[in-house]
Amino acid sequence: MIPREARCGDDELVGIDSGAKLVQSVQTWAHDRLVPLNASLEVTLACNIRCIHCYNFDRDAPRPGARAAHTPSGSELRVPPAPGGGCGTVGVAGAADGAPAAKPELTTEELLDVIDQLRQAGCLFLSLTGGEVLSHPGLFRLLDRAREAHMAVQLLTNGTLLRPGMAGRLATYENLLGVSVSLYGATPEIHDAVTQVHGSFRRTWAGIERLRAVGVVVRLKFVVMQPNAHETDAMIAAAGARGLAYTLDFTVTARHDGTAGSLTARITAAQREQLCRGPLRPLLPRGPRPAPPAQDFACNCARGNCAISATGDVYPCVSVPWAAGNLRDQSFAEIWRTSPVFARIRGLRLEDFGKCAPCPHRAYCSHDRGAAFTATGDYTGADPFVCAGAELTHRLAVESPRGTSEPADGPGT
Amino acid sequence: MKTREPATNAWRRASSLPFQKLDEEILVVDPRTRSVHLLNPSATRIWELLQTPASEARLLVSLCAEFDAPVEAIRADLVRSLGELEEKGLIGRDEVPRGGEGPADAAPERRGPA
Repeated sequence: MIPREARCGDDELVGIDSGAKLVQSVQTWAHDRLVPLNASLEVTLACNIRCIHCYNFDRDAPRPGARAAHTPSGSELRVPPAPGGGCGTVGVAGAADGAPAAKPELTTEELLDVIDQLRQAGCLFLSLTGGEVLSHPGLFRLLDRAREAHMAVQLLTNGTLLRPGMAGRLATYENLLGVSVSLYGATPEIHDAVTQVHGSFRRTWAGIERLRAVGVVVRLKFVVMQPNAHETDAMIAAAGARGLAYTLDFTVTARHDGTAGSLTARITAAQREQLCRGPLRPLLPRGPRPAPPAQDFACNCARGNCAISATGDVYPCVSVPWAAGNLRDQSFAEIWRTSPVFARIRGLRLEDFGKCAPCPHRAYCSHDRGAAFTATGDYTGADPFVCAGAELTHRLAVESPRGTSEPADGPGT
Repeated sequence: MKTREPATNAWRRASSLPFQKLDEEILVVDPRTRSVHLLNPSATRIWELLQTPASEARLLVSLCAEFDAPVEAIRADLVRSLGELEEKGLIGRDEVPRGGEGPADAAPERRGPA
């Protein structure tokens, strides 16, 4: 195996403490051999909360697109109808009356077949996501199938539907790596303002505690945005107090439905700098970094990673809604092997990324292809928000070379 | 009346662990211990043979049929690999009635190269 990094945050795994280098080398193996080792399967667009930054679609507006194949069951959360005919309790896909013909979500039977096809193609790490994955009535059938196929599974959820019975049942799956739970604040006021559902903060934490009680690995996922930036250090402290791992991300992209209202939730430049000089400083690099080799610029998109949308579109990764084909028209293997979209991505070289190739901040950049694609419509484009983050990270790294004392941790606001 | 024969140990994979073959090796993921293991080619072949539980004797027969090496060398490698896999918690032993696996439980015979 070639000991270089296949760079991509989308192949991060919950629940693996040891063997990180081994996993990295296996990811590189998959990258180089075009084995879709990591797949995200969006089992539904239905969701019981209505996050302001949701990348699926604007959950406050009528949506003439996909239609859920089911209604989320067991949701006790009630969402007030949005002005202008929003999505109501399920916050999903409910096409407004008179809307164009909907594209139905994959049925449970189709999802089971997708799991089989992914396994056949070499998928080992399967991320089940949504919408809200726990709202899917066939979830445990999907988990059963993944277990039979010896796939390692992680769930990405808001946690609010994790009742005691469900947490206990999840704990019986020996192939469950863990559960990634999204958290948008350190207080109910802030978190619930982001989800637009009163009580979601309390339910999310109750779900987290239920998972922990039955021994399921939990990782928190913080998305730092304008409304919650001032609680970043408190969110980190909450994770630390419970010994929970977390990831922290500034990434808010335009939506897959083409709307961009989500972008108003992005942190401002001032907020980002304040955070990066404050509580996040220990997480950032210090000292100059050499630019990575040109061949390392290609991430794991369409190489070791892929994603399947709730309606069967096959994407290069979960962040890039660039459909390479649809599973109702072609098999996964055929799309994976022959799609012009995937061939295009796999053939890209550093010089094809016109703005990134000469950029002096390349070594400090996340190279977020999802942000670039949704911002510009061009996979090789650049999202100014990401560029600004790279510039800031570079500036701070040079300001504070390695070996300098850490600034005191403290709130960034 | 049929009498039950003495028990023997059948090796089996730890249940439902995720794994994937990578060229000549297998990566096994163990969420219980939050760890991953890359099996060498010998352990990989044993892992594959343990798709169904099997005794050491049966595994030896299978391996002898595949590899052109002295039986004792294959046996030593098998015992070492089984020990390593068991130590990592990737396989375990079940007691099964002798003869429950069929004729492959008989002593292995040397065969030609696979």
